[in-house]
Amino acid sequence: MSNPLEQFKIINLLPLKVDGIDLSFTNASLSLSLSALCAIVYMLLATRGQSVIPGRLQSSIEVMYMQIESTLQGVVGNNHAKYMPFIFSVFIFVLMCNLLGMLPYSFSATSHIAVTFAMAAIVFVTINIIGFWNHGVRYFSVLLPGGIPIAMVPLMFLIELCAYLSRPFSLSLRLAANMVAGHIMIKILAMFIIMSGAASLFLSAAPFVLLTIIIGFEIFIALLQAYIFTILACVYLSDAVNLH
Amino acid sequence: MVDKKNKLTELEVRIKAARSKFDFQPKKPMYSGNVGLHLVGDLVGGLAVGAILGYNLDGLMNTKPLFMFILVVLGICGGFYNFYKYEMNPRSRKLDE
Repeated sequence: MSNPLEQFKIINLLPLKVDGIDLSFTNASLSLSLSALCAIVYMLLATRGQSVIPGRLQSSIEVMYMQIESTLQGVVGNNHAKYMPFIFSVFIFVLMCNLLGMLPYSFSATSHIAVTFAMAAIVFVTINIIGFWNHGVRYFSVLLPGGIPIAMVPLMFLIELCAYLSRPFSLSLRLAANMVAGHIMIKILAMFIIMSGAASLFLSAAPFVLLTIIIGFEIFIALLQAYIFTILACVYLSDAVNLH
Repeated sequence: MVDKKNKLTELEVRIKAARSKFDFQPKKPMYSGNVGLHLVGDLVGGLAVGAILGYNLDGLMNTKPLFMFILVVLGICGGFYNFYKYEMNPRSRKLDE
């Protein structure tokens, strides 16, 4: 039987080394480029007509946009409009990466911590820049929660610092772990079909039905994880915008 | 005349039935079932930050297990604290309910 982890293997498609740094074009790079291309083509096609009564494609993008906007407004507050392009780009890119990974023979880029951590680090650095841009040096007070006794300040400062620095880690781990778990489960169930099919064709029906359900569920998880990534980016952004 | 009125009321009933089929029902947000996974992500993230920071600080100052130990404990506390803050934030909590 094949290894269920084989699908996450990085394959070098175009070897390239510049000054000792490995800049090869791998299947992960291809998958990420395709996701970006899919996102751009989808947005262009969906917003081409812009009719008052939207068609299927246009309403799909409108529903997503309104959902993300209401989330952002609920978390960040009323001056959310200028952060909308950033948050929506993050959402649509993660969503496209997740959904592209669901296609047979494709590579799911978001199942690699290197990819998700890069995304989380971009979000983290951007939010820090926004925080220092809005509040200057006063932004450091995000590391000191209000209303604590003086004796507790050093301990709370250290805990807050750890909590603050762990944000990109937990953000990336959550997305990658969910994707890896889902893809491994699909692969193992697919192996069950073949194994039980060797015994009897009738017996393989049960894992086949289960696999069909699980694949539907995984598409839902792909959407949900992109949404959770976005919600958490919004929550972290709200600290940078509305300093307590 | 009466027949026409009957037809109209019949049509109205049918329109209402068709409308209720597509009526938008505000659903529970999708997030609520995932609180456990959220906690796991926060805890492992905190632990990872503590371990990485501690390991590197120890390497820098040659104090092998000291900072690793302190920062792993602080990292776990930080992970819990992150989760606590997320759940206590009235704005993000609204999304959970």
